[in-house]
Amino acid sequence: MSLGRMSGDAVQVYSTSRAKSIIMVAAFAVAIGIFIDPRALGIGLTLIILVVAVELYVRLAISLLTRSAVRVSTKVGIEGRDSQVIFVICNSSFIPIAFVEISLEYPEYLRLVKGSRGGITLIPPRGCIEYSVWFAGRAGMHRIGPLRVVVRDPFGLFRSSVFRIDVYAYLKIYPKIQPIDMAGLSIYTRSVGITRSRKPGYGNEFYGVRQYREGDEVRKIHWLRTLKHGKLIIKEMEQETSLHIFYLILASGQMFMGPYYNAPYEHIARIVSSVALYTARRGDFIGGAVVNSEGMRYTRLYRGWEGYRRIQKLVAETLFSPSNKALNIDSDRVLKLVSGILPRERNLVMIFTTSQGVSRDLVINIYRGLVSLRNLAYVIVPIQALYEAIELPKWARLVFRLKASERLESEFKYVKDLRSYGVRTLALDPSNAVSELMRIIASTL
Amino acid sequence: MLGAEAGKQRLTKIVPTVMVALLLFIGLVAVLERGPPAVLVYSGASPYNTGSLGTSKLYGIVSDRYENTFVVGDWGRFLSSPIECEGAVVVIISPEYPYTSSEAQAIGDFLARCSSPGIVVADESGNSNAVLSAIGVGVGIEGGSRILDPDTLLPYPEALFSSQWFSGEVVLDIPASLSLGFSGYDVVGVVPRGVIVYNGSGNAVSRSDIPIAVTGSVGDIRFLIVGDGSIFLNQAFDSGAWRLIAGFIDDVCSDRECMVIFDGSKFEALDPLSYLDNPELADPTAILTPTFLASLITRLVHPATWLPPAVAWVNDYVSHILNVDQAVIVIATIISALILGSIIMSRSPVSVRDTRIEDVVERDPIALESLMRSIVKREFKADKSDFRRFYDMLNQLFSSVVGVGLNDPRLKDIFVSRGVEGEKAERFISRMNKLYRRSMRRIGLPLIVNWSKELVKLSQEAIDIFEALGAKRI
Repeated sequence: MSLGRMSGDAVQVYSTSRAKSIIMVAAFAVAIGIFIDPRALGIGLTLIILVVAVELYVRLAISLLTRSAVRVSTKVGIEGRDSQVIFVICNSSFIPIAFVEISLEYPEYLRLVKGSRGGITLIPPRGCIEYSVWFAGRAGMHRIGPLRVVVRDPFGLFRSSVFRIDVYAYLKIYPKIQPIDMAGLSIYTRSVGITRSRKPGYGNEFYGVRQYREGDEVRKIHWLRTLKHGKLIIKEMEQETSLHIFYLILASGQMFMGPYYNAPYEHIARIVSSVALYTARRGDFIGGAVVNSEGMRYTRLYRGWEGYRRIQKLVAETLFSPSNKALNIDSDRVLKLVSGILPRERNLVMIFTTSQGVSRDLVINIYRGLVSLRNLAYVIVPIQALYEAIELPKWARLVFRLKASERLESEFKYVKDLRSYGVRTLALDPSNAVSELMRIIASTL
Repeated sequence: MLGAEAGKQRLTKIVPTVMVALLLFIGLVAVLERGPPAVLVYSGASPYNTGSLGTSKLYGIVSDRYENTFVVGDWGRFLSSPIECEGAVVVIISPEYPYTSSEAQAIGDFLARCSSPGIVVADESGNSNAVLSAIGVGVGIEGGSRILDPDTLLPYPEALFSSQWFSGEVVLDIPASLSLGFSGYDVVGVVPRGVIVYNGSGNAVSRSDIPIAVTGSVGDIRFLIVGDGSIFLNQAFDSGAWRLIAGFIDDVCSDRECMVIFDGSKFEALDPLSYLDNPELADPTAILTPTFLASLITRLVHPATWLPPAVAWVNDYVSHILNVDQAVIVIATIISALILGSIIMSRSPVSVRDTRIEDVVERDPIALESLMRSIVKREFKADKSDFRRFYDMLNQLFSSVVGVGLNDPRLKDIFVSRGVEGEKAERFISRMNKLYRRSMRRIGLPLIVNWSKELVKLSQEAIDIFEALGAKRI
């Protein structure tokens, strides 16, 4: 929950065409009262007093509103579900503030699914109004606000200029976890050759059998051996040793561009979270960093669930900022950060980036720097144009590929160039599931 | 954020202001022509009166129990419709006007038609005596009498009710004594101590155990007669006396189908404005009801109420002004008004057009948005080089899916063997190859080709074929 304040700009009061009409009627009534019929004088003066009174009221209402307390609160959301933002405006005075037109500013890439973008309200004396809106959750952090406001009198004779209530809600949306093919992942991690422990424990590889002990899972009972020996025998799996996995997201503004739920960043966020969940269950050390135009945000390596929680938080707290802005950062800074986090042993680093807005040299330098420290690194590049076309009908996708071939070729060329420099690179398209991606990685080993 | 300007909402005026004004004027005249809404406010003990002097609460309770509960405003019209009844109870509470003999006879005839009839009369005015006579009850309301409290000599004596339906003490409100002309009744309510006074005579008789409520039957008709209707009003609801009537009805009615008729014919139904015109009619308890206020507001805002007087007033006033002989005065008035108006306006805040705040317009940030839109709308432009690339792309895809390209003669058979319709496969392959040759200028026909249209058509066909081949990802 945060507290807002009004913008520092001076708020102007304007009259409307209605005020002009009333003033002219009042002027005529006064003139008629003076020259023809004194009874009209009363009407004219009453109208003038009314106009003056409502102007004063508008000024008073603006002053009261600028002194009102505005609170905003959000709840942590999950991708694909509706996430609520609540604004509460309180009038601490004894005078009602009528009428206040409110309009909510929010990123145009977000979809409002419930509630209104704005409306007209009355804030009762010594009371509060609550304004709630719900957005369809997209993975990442979204800035909602400020509120833009106009104050009018009840007759609509005067209005204020549009002014802002500088209150912002930061909506954090956690990515949805994708189902994962455990066996596929196991193949991959074992093929790397650093996960075998030769100890019984949690894993996918058969280790041996032993007699049942209290607390063992019933589904692990080896029925054939049990029948043979006449006592309960269970299967033991080989404990997979811990990996150090680091997710590095080099996010240009282009990474956030794309259809709802299908921007490359959203896909990457789902992949990272899903793999992190799996590796957390195995007890791996997980860490990550997001490098974007806002700077570098990271989480150190944490084991198991703590690592997963921190990765989720990192991904959900990355400001969703679609733009054509390129990522402008020195590769040494990134390397220094990552190498400061990773231990001096063979770690797995997955670098997610986009061909648009992230220079090839930056990626190559980071990759080489990491590999020179004995790390195993992969660069995963989503093909942006394919993400953009995902909502097209199938026939239109064919035509799109044709018409956007220049763009596609440049994106694929980026991937080829990286490979030609010895960078282990994968092109990612929106249909790639997590397990599929893992299989591709395994097949490149 | 992309395209801040693109995010602004643009409003396009579709209907001219003059047209809107004209439509409003026509609407106003039409509403005026239809006349004001018929919203009436009922006075007295009417079941429609939700004020403290009404009987709407009693009506509400009974109608919850018996679905055939309604209010009759015109007995003549009610009885002219075919009615079948088994159980029926007529409820008359404090009628404001006496019943005519024909109305009374009609009520009596109606009850005689029913197999299990009953009547409740709670009245202190004697207006219902004609009904009681018509059904042959030897009990009447002495409308000219009043029972007073012996201690205070005010018309609010205490009554003691004792019946299977309701027992307890209730303070009466200007009750009348009953004239009991026969003995076929049970007393269910008495005033233990009271003084009966008769209008005009000045006689005052002090008595004890004065009957105030009796019940009994005449033929098939069962009756409950109470010398005071005020104990059943909304304001006395908490006394619980309503149980007397509700219990009586339950006793007469054997099922929920029973017909319960509240008499609403003897109450004034007034236009809410008439209360303002004649303040002596205004019952403060009635004015405070939401029904009254709602009906008054509805009546006031209706153009039929305010528009004719307003037009007449303006007309009179303009006539009055125009009748001023001295043209100089008129001109001086206009000039003065314009000067005064401009002075006031120059001192008031700057005038602006009062528009609403522009809302955010949602859009997905997509770099190739215009291309996508043109493809979906089929407005994109394509030429033969596009077709050549399209051909190459499909050629490559088919090669990877079925192992042969578009110019391979085996392709049609492979398609057919994999479930694609023969004719469709043949048409697609030949069209693709023909247009490819045309794009390479190897053949001259067809002379004119709409490459965009061909691309759309062949893309759709290609997708159908890929789906038939079982290729999930293209």
